[in-house]
Amino acid sequence: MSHPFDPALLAEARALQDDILVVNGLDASLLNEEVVRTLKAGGVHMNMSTLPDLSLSSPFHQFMLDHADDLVPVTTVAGIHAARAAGKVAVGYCWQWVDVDEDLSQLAGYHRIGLRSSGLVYNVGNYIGSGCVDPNPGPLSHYGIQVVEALQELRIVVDIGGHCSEATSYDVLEVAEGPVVCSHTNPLALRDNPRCMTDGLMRAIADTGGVIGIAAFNFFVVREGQATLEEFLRQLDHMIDVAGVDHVGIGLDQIIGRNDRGPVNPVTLPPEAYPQRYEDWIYVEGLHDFTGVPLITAGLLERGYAPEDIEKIMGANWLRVWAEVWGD
Amino acid sequence: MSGRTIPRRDFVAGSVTAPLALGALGCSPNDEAAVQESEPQALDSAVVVGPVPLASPIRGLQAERMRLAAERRAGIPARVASWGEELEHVRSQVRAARDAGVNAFMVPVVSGEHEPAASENLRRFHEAVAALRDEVVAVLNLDGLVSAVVTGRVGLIPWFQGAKMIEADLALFAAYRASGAGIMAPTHLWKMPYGDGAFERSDQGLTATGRLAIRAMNRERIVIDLSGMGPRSCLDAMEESEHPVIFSHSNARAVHDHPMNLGDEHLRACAELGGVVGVSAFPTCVSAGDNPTADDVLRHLDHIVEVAGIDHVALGLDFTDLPRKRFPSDPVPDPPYRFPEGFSGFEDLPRLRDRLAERGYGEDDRGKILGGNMVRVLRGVWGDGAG
Repeated sequence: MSHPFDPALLAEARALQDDILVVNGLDASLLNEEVVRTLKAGGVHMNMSTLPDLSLSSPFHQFMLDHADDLVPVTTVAGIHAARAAGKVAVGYCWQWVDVDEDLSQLAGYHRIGLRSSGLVYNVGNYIGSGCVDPNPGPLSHYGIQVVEALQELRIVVDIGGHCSEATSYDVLEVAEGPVVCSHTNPLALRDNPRCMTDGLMRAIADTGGVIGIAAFNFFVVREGQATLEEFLRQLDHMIDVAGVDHVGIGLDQIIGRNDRGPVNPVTLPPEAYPQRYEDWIYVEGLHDFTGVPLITAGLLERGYAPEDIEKIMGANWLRVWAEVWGD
Repeated sequence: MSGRTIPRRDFVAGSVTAPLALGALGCSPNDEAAVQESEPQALDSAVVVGPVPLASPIRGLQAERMRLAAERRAGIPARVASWGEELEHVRSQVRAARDAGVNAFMVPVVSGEHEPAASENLRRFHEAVAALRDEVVAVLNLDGLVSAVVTGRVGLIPWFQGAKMIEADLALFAAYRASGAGIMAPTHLWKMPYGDGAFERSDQGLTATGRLAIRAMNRERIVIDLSGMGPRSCLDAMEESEHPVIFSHSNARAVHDHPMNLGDEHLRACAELGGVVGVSAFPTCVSAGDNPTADDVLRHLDHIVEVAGIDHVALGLDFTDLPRKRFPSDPVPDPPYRFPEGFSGFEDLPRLRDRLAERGYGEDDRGKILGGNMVRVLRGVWGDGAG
């Protein structure tokens, strides 16, 4: 019996990835050399990068210029295909929450800089809604409704992230029109962590035509010890069972370059949802960086998914939603 | 026209945005000699009321933006007054307060602004106080209040609505306290990282961050003002706070059911903590009718006295002409507001004393309502002196 780590199967997976377009729907890494190197080594064609600071003075603009031979900023699906054709990795810009100090007039400028997807709330309540670890979760605020409307007006993807509370998430689905995504989460049915998502909410997202990305953050897969690739793939199977093969993608949520040391803030990152020392913020076996992405493809092959389904899961579902929302 | 037409001037050379730098402007003209000579009973009959906004631009950028937007909607051409003209407006307002016997009133310095606008507002406030220093005193502590009383100037108590300049960065409470934030409403009327506002779609209670913020405000001896906060968040905050809290401008739901007003449970909880509720004259919070009267306001006061006790009521006034409506569903009209006849400005306060007497409030009770209760809370939370 073959195994995702089996060299022959891995070679098959790499060959398949060369035929399809592989998309990581959410990355939390700092853009750095290691990210560039491992994205290329792992056969990832498009990376949606979290850039909390999208301002004109952010150093990442220069980083993108300095790495123009390897990276291309993209704002359209056509741009992603063009990057692929040029042998470069496409990079999209996203936020995990809308941080404009309640001044939505700033959004147009950030859209111009390249913002194409945004979360709303990060774990704890803000001006927009409540977070997944809040003691008393509630719906979107008045302002939160305006935020969703403003994002949609600009054709920026609305991402409930996995960091919103369930109540706020359902409210977003109520307010938003068209596909809504959850860029990085894991099934609550298999891992009891407030950061994970109920089957019902995954179905509701699928009903909008959206995508749910699976995260590779170890603690969202297992409570203790190192999560195996098998345990991760079991979660992926479950999400596909629940939401359907057209509505699941990967959103691995690596934090390369941001993996600090020492204690975390227990208010925004409480112990029931996150390990309390950054040293313990580890990833599923083989998925600590992007070089392991073919392991996922190999795992799907091993589990008997048809190549056209693997193509959807590994990228085409994201591209479908982005094409619809971005309007290209 | 855009919000950028806010009248402004260059205040000081260079840019002073860090709140701690404000002290360096030397804008707190407390007369130390007078304060030291004063007897402890200087505050015994002090009249301390508010909040009442000052004339723009001192009243803040957010308020100005909302005023200009409302006037634009109404087709009124933008009025841009010079800083000198604005100061004269403030001077006449302060004189009206002084002539009515007011020793100090709360002044909104921040009304929902984030940084850097919040620091800019605070700088404008201190700049205005410095320009009018022969008539006003910035009240940042109890010494400031004593100074106002013994020198016959009007004390302006900086009042912050919404700690949006702080959010989860709780160490900033100390910096803001040092530069003037003696009274802060942690949330405004809408949802905040701490909890829900009274006008929100939900009533969710304090968040974990909100509870930490209450403790930080206790630690920094900032008076916590819960006016405008949603009902559950208020109860949570009163449960969390070790110090008395105030509701600077809130009425009684039993008299008029409005989201800004307080149920009896809240009135009792406030009294148990030793706090005060300042009665508001803002018409929408007084009665459902179009023409609220001074007696309507006093019915709220009577009810608060009945439920919370005579030691827990004050005059919140809330004489404002500024727009409050931010979302279409907000339960407030657009200005101009029709304040109750006989209860619409500082000049009505002398007559109000008579009305209180007519309702059976004796001299001691009137002293408590007009300022004694508020002074007790300020002294209790701030501590004696400049500390």
